This record gives sequence, C-alpha cells and structure tokens, in this order.
Amino acid sequence: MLELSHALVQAVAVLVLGAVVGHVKALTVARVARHTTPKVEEFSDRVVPEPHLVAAASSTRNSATTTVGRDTPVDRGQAGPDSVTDGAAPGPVPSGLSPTAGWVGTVLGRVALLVLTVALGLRTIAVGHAPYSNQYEFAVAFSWGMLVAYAVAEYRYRVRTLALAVLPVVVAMLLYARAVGAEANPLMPALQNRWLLTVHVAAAVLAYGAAAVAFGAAALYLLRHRLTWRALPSAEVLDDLGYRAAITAYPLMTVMLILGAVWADIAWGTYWNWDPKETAALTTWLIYGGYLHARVARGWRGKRAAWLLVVGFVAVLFTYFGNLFFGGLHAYA
Amino acid sequence: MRRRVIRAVSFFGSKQTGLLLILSMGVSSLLGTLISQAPDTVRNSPQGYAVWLETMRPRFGDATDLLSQLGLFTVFFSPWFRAIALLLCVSIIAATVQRLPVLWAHAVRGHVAPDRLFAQASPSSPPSSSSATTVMSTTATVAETVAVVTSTLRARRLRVVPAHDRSPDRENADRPAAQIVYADQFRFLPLGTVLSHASFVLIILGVVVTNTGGFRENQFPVVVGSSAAIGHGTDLVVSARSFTDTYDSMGRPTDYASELVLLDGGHPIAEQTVRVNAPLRAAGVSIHQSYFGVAVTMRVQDAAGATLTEPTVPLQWSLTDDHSAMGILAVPGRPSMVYLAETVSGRVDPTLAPGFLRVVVVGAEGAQPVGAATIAQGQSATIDGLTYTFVRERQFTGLMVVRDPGAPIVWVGAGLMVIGLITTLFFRPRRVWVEIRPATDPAHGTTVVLASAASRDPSARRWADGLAGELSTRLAAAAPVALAPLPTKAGHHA
Ligand code: HEM
Repeated sequence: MLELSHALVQAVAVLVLGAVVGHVKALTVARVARHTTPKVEEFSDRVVPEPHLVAAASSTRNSATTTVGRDTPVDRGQAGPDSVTDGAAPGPVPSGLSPTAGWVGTVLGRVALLVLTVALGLRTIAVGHAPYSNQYEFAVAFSWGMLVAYAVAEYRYRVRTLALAVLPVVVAMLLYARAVGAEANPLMPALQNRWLLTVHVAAAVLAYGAAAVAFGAAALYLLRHRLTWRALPSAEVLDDLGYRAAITAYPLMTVMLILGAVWADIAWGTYWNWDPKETAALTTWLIYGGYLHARVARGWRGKRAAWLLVVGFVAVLFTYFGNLFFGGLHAYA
Repeated sequence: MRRRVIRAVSFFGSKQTGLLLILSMGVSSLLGTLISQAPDTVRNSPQGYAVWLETMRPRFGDATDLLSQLGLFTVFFSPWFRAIALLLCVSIIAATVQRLPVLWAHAVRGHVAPDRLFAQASPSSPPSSSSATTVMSTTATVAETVAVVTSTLRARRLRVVPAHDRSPDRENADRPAAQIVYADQFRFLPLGTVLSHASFVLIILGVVVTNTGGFRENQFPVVVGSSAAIGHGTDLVVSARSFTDTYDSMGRPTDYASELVLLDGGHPIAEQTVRVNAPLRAAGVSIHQSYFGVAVTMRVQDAAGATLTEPTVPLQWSLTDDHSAMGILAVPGRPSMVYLAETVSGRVDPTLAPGFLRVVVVGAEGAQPVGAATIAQGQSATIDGLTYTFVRERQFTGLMVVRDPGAPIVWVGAGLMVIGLITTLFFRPRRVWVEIRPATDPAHGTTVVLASAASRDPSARRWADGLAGELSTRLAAAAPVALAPLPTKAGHHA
C-alpha cells in the first residue's frame, strides 16, 4: 500500500505539472490575442448581470468601490475579466482566447487533488497514523494543503492565473518529497500523541496551503503592471483574494501554534521552548499579523501589504525547511 | 499631564505604531532563529557562556563579541526583546482604550445614522470612500417602500430597527423629512478584536508569571528502585519503580516508560506510568519523562576500611565526544570530586571498553586530577588514600519536574485569542441604513438611499451591492411602473 501511495504521489506531480502547462498555454494564447480582442472593460459589461434597479441606478461611490463591486466574481454567475478569458463565464467568449487549455488545467488540478487525497488516505492506513511524521509525509501533506487552498480559491474567485504562482510550488514540494524518500518510520516517542499530531499538523498544512494562495495573489498583485497577460484579474480581486487567504491562514496558524504549545507542555513540560522551529513559526505568525494590521494602517495598504504576504510565505517555507539547516546553525537542534 | 496621557495613548494606540511593533517583534524572532542561541544551561552561567561563545567564534569571527553585546545570542531574554513585548502590550491596551467606546457605540447605538452617509448621497456632493451608497427611486409611496425595505432586510435575517424619522438638525434643515430604516447583523462581533488583543496581553502576562513563579528541574534523575525529593519547599518525593525503553527491529526507539509514585509527606498521592506524552500531574507539579541512562553504585572507603558513603550516581551528562556518559560523586567531608565515566551503550570508545568505569579524582572542582583508574563491576581502585568500589550498575530515569503557575493564564489567553479571531475574521458584521423620502421632483415618486457602513472588507461592498439589487427587484415588483433615471453627478451603473 505504501508503494501504491508513493506511485500516486508521483502521478500527482505529473498531473500538477500538466495543470501548469495547461494554464500557461491558456495565458500565452490569450497574450497573442491581446491586440485582436476588445478591451476587457468592453465585454465585461456584457457578462456582468445588469443590476435590476427599478427605475434608475446610480452610484456615488468612489471609483475603487465601483470597480470592486463589478469585477469581483464571487457568485458563480457573476464573472470578472479573468473568467471571461478562461471561457468559464456565462457571457460571450472573445475570439482568440483559449478556453480549452485553461479548462484542462483546472480539471488536471482537481484530479491531482483527488489522487493526492487518496494517496494520503492509503498512507494513513498503511502507517497507522496521520501522515505527518517525517519530511516526506509532511511535504506531501503540505502539497495537499496547497492544492486544497488553490482549488477553493479557483472555484470561488475564478482566478486561474493564480495557478502559475501556486502550482509550481506544489510541483517543487512533490519533487522534494521524492528526493527525501518515501520510507515510513515508526512514530518516535515524542510524536506519539494521536490527536495532537493529527490536529496540530492538519492546521499547519491548511494554514500553509492558504498562505501559498495568499502568496500567489500577492505576487500577481505586485507583478500586475509588468505582466502583459490579458487574463490577469484586477488589482482589487487579487487584493481581496490575498486578504481572504490570509484571514484563513492566520487563525489556522494561531491554532497550530497553540496546539504546538499544548503539546510541548505535555511532552517537554513547557509550553514554549524558543526552539528554532517554534521561533520560525512565531516569526511567520507575526508577519501575517503584521499584514492584517498593514491593511488597516494608513500608508501600508496595497503594495506594502502585498509584500508582507510574499515575505510571509518565504517565512512559511523557511519554517518548513528550517529543520534542514537549523541543525547546522544551532548547537542544540 | 492629562494632555500628555492623551498624546501617549494616541501614539501607542495608533495603527502604525502597533504595526511597527508587531514587525519589530517579527524581525527579532527571525534574528533569534537565524543566529544560534545560547542554550538555557549556558545562558545562566557566565563561565559556561564564555566557553560557549568560543564555539561561535569560528562562525562569526570578529563580530562575535559585538553580537554578544547586542544580546543576539540571547535574543529572547534580552532587555530589548522584553521591551518590544512590553511596548506591544502598551500599544494594544492604548488601542483598545481608544477604540472600545467606538466599537461599543456602534454595537448599541448603530441605528443612529451618521448624517454624512446621506448627505453625500445628494447629487451635488463628491463621492466619499468611507461608505457605499446607492440611490434608487420608486413609484411606491413612502409607507409602502418602508414596508418593502423592512421585509427585505428581515428576509436577510438582519435585525431591523423599525422606521423612524430622521432627526431634524442643522445639517438636515434644508432636506425634506425622511424615514430611516436601520438593520444590522452580528453587531457585537467587532468587539471580538478586543478579545484577540486582550488575549495577547494575557498570554504575555502568563509568560511573566511562568518566568517569575514556580520552578522547573530540567534534570531530575531518579535511580530505578529508589526515590528523590523534589524540594523547592515541598514535601514531595518521586519514587521510580521501573523504567523500560523499547526499540524496534532497526534499533529506533518506540517507547520510554517510567512507573512512578509521587509521595507527599511520605504518603503516596499519585501513581502512574509516565511516558513522553503522558506526564504525571498532581499536587501542582507535573513530572515528565525526559531522558534516561545508567547509574553506578559506588562504595567509598577510607584507609581503615570504614565506608564513607555508598551512593548510586546517575551518569547523566554526556561528554563532548558524545561517546561516554559522566556523573559526579562528592565524598562527604572531602573537598575532592570524583568523576565517573562509562561508554554509552552502542557507542565505541577506543579508550574505554564497555562495562568498564573510569574513575577520575580531582582535588577540588576544576582542579587537576590527582589520580585515575579504570575498573570493572566488582573491582576496586585506591586513589589518593580512598578506595572506590564499583558495586553495581543500575538504571535511572531522567525526569523533568515543573511547577508552572503561568501556564493556566496562557491557556485562557490562547482560548480567548481563538474565539476573538473566529469572531472577527470569520463573521462579518453588517450595518445598513435606508433613507426613504419623497423625491424632490414628484415625477420620481419616492427616493430610496441605501448606505452601508464603511468597511475595508470588499465583501461588505459586495454584500451591499447584492442587497441594493434585491431591494430594487422587490421594489419593482411592488410598484412596476418605470420612471426616468435620477440624475446624479457621480458614476453611473452600466
Ligand atoms: C500580536 C498581537 C496582536 C494580535 C494577535 C492582533 C489581532 C488583530 C486582528 C485579528 C485584527 C482584525 C484584522 C482584520 O479584521 O482584518 C486586528 C485589528 C486591529 N488591531 Fe490588532 N492585533 C495585535 C496587535 C495590535 C497592536 C499592537 C495594535 C496597536 C495599535 C493593534 C491594533 C489594531 C487595530 C486598530 C485594528 C483594527 C480593528 C478594527 O478595525 O476593529 N493590534 N488585530
């Protein structure tokens, strides 16, 4: 069963790679079509359902508000420019864009998630505990978290471009898992706490997955003005998505830290040890806390806040991979 | 004085100050992760620290002393890190003091519409970023419109404050009488930020209590078959009945378990098999499985053959080469110290065969050795006038004994933080005011202005848009006569 699970994990790497290719293809086709298609604003009006105002409708909101109101595709029926390009919107698809490639990417991404779920399930049964006990298992679980978060974000926001920022991270993580080897270890005595292992790490996996999505949204937000892709979501959608992902990640990270403290208190008699992994996780938590406050602080909204999401995800990766070099850095690690 | 306090509160309570403090703490803890930190045992002993610092010198070179002076090897115990934590608490308290009255007023007196909301909805005023406003008109009468608006809001499960007249005041003097319908949802939830902020302060308080009260013994060896007193003003004694370590076929550890009895004043009060994930908690202390090892029973006799002492010494320190375990034996009434070392099982040490004990006698702690011998179990050696006999080998279980009065405070704080985060981040409060008034131009029937509270959360604006759409549909159904569009200055829909 372990071998089957591992084979499935490798298949997932290929599927996710396929999804990336699909999305890249969709985008490059869209880019070629840039000059032959009407401006997004022109056709997006046809896509967005007309507000059913009785006699007249007018808005005295500022322009940013207006943009968000129109471009943010929350309801599945309502679509923004990105989904228009992807061909998923109920409205007309401009000629020259490639709906199929993007659609293939989406399907591959979802199949990958499904297969990875099965792989993790099989491994759980085979090893007899939640699959988080070594670098391999956690890398695979981390990939799963990112795929879940990505799938939710893509479904809710219809922002396929996000795939280009998030899915390569998943591929890299799965390759890393492959490199460290799929060997199963018995749970060392310190890890023998079934529910804490399960819940503490599940919170971490989901938090880090959401953090990856926040990173993707922030990266696109920051690169937006340099990219020529027609399919890029509006700055407001990306900002909103980054925020949604971050406010999902933050409470989960909080729960992860607290359960880590509970566990440390049981196993080591102290809720906090300043051990490098703990400290790195605290740093990450503070960066996301900083982001939440940056969004409400004058002079920090927009780009600076987005940078905090990028830095935050670097901190997530550092926290995760930290073990690899804390050993070298820390005399006692 | 009063003004100074107000200024301090507004400085520390400002979002920028708070943010900078949070980020400073983030940077500090990053430094503490990147730079090796002095372990606890070393930090509390100046000589130990000096020795440890030398091990850092090859890596940090000339910067070592500077880093040390800046406290970068002891970040989390440095005065500046503590200052940041303290300022963060001050900032949180100041921000709460400033915002609590506002949050409370919003929750309980939210129905009082800020006039600027509607003032800006007039065609002549510039659009504002502080709120979302939608203007529509209907042929229905004011009373009919109020009914439609109220039922629409109720259907969305909002708490509706029945229509009331807009309070006449200076600002509204030139505007016609209007009815205001106010509705909200989750109005008390914004107070959740108070909870998540207060919880942080509580957690820091718990940490302070942990650091100042209680005690902790990180190395508390108990030889199997014997007892050890916990001390620290208690009458508690731990007795170890057995210790077992289990390994799998590859030699990887799978379990460590100590059967312990805790006695208070000689009476057993608790009994448990303690494992890494199953500490014994009783009488306000917790006892954890931490390490284990070999102990040796030594008999020390003087030249006349009289036994001076016969203790069992846990070999609980590992020597720097990591091959051997060491323990220290003090002979009562003598200044000399005896160091006992054995090769750790499974390791190979060319200078010390397994099963042998190396006995090194020094005149006093830190002095040069006065003699040494290597003996097997049952053998004796005479060094410096005393005879040392290696009576037998036993096992000890290494425990950790902790009394931590701060922990419960931390747990309460942690619980409040989670509740606070869920209430503020997962639920969004909604507040809308609907102004219903006869249109200035009778041809336009009744004017409806929908205003929702300012929010940095885009979902609030989407929600308000959705509500406006629904309201217009319902109004259309109630009075299906189309009217000419209202002229407005700011951007038109569609
Ligand atoms: C590390 C400790 C802190 C935690 C865990 C924390 C948590 C939070 C959370 C979860 C929010 C809600 C964010 C959102 O709705 O997007 C928030 C908002 C806020 N925080 Fe903090 N915070 C902390 C420190 C501070 C500090 C030091 C200040 C000092 C000024 C501060 C001031 C504020 C303000 C003014 C808001 C906006 C509140 C509102 O709109 O109701 N926070 N905080």
